[in-house]
Amino acid sequence: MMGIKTVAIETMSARLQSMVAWLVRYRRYCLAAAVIVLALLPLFGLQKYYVRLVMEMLTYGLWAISLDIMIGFTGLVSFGHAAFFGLGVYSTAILITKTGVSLLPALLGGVALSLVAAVLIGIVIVRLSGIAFALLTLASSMILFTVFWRWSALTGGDDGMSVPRPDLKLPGLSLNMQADTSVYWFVLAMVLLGIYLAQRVVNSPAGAALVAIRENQARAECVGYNIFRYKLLAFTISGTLAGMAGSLYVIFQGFASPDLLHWSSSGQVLIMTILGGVGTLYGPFIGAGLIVLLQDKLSSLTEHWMLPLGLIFVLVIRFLPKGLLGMVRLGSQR
Amino acid sequence: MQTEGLTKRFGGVTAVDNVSISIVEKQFRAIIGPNGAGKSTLFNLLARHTEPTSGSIAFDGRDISNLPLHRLPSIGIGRTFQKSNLFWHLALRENIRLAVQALAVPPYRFFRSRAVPELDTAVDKILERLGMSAVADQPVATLSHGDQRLAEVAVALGGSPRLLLLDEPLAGMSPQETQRAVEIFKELAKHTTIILIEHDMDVVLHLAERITVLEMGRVIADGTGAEVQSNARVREAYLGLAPSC
Amino acid sequence: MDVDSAFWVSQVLNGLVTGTLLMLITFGLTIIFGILLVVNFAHGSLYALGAYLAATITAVTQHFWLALVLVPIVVAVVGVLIERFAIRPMRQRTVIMTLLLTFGLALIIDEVTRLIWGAAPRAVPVPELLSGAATIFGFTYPLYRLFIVALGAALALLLYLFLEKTDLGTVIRAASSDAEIVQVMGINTSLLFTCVFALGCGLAGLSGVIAAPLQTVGPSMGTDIIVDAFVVLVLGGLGSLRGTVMAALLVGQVRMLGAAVISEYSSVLTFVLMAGVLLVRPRGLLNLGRLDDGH
Repeated sequence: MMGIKTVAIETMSARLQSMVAWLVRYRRYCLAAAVIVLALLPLFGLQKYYVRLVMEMLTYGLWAISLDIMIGFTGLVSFGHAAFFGLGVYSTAILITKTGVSLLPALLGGVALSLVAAVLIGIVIVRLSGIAFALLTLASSMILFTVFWRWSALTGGDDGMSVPRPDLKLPGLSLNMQADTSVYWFVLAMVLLGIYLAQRVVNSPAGAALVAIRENQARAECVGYNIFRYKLLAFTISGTLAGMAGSLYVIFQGFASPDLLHWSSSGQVLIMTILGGVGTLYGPFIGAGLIVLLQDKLSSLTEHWMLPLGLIFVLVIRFLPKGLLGMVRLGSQR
Repeated sequence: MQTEGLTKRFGGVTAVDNVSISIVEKQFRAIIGPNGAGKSTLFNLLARHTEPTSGSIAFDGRDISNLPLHRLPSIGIGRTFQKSNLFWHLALRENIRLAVQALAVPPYRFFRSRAVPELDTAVDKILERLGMSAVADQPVATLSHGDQRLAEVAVALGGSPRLLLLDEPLAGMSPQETQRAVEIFKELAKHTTIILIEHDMDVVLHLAERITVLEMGRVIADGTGAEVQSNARVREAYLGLAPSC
Repeated sequence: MDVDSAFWVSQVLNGLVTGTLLMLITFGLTIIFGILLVVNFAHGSLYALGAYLAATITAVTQHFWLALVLVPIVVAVVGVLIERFAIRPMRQRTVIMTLLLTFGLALIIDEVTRLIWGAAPRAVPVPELLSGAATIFGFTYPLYRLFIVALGAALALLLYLFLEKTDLGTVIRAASSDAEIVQVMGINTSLLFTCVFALGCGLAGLSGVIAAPLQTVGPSMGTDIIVDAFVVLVLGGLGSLRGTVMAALLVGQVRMLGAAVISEYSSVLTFVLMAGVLLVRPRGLLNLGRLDDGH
């Protein structure tokens, strides 16, 4: 009996491994196929509601990927990643409503402000790690939350602010972005750009140094890496990409609310990242998509959709700490 | 490397007391002493792991007393740890590669490819030198204890150091592993300055050109193996306690 | 007393009440971190659970005091279950993974609370015995609030005596400085951890009962309090009871006096304080905590 069982397990794991090997081998094609499907999506006559849902998946996905640079590749668990997403949201929202800029400057403004904020906050807090770092990111994001929440003259406070969608204006070119399908392509292109940048960072020599810091900070320092600067760079890149995700979010959603900066929002993106698999980069993107989809499906069934979400999260932490993609990849690790 | 009046106090205890030693290039120097003599503290001072209470350290005629830890490899100093301290989940090859990359690739390259052929050549060379090519692709956490101790040396070699600081590299090794390691150290000593802390007196006498003996944080003898062995104070303080020597 | 100084006196007293409540809530977090090295994100949710239970018990039996006795026991039992089935299996994992796990638990508990009690806020009346106001030196202040301060002081004293004078307290103090010592002493650490976790959760429940008459009991009660409790935990030095007392009283004053001066932004002050302490004195304002670099 035992023998048969082991053989069965072995064949199963062998089959799984060959499947994973296939996926890894043809990952370029898989990625290309995914991109093509995403690009053609609006042409399938998708309802406006679902176009928005996919855009939400895309922006949250970029946000989760940006968090993975910090957690999965540098070993810093942030409980305040909503701060940068929210900064992107609000700086873009304020730029649009107060100055009436067009699409690209609005996005760039959001990205630039999150970059500056990430550097300034990072200089102060990347000296710490572990629990202290997590609590410090929590504190810093709650400071920002309070400011944006209370400064109602600028942000509309609790009521949030409605943000009209600007057109895309380039020299000699003006594209109307009011239709959800047009802005969809813009959001998709920008998210892909963000993912590409993240992917380059992770696969660069500096990305390897970040992994060294994650694995053993003391030794990384002894072999010659300037820990502070590398951590600061990781923090900055992560915060900037999160800000970009936030900017894109408010551009298609048309509404900014202080809730986006609250720590429960940071917790949500943590769930996405961990569910998908930290340190896998694409895992968190998938995790974000799944959670958004789950929320959408469950919230139409019950208002208590947080319950299954919480259960799933606890079970993943307990039994599947490497996340969905981490589990699949396990067999193919070097 | 020279030290000048190097002193380290912990509260009221003086662990290293006014140590001035000088190690010339390509020398194989061992630092020995009974337990609690201050060897480890002295080592940590040399490796810039601990800040001295007073005194200075110079390397290549340059004062390095205030050099940040991460700059040591770039001036040619590499070290190993008494308790293996590696990138545990990564393969041995990747461990060495990270050490080589720290110096060979300009820092903060976020938008280049990680694949640098020169790095792999350098890593292969180190693996070959230590005879560890067979286990190169295993995560270091799964290596045998002896191989982990050697991996420590391999990672230290990643920065092509001119001065190698070895902190009890043979601790816990089997006799066969020790023999293999000793051969490797002999080979390394041909083109590298080495400072070794070690308990195994046979190995120390076999390898070291000069031996510094510490007791209560002070240098009580400094000389060749034969000189040190015949030194009355050393016999009294240290060797006398270990009849096997 | 003129109006102006009466205002400030009442702000200071309000700060004392807020501080006492924070102290009681954070006591639970502190002993749990001190012994188990777990930062319990679900603590606020258990506090809210306690408040809801109190609302139901007082509504059904009209006895606030019954709630004050029963609820901590019920929440402590919930704590036992959490420790057994969620925290204990995480013993070999990092502190941060356990923190994430308790975050998931917080989501679950919050949602279960909402499932049982709905989203509508509940009110818990102040017990009749304490519904009046006391006049001291011509200054009038609600009796129930004074009771909170007295109860907080009494509980702090009781906890102090428990830790200093009883055998179990000695074991707990030993465990908080070095878990291995306790193991060497041959004490059942599993049981000890469960007891400590239950005690901490019970304290959360108790705080929930006490806080209930002061505010409306609503679904966001736990989420609102947990970060403040973290602030106190950090200022107190993560794991020190004495530090927690000082930190809670300080945060209470900062909150209330800050509210009087810079109104809505007063919570920024406490977060800045928290960030500053983490950066400059990671072992807390009084340097009593057990947060080392490794954690």
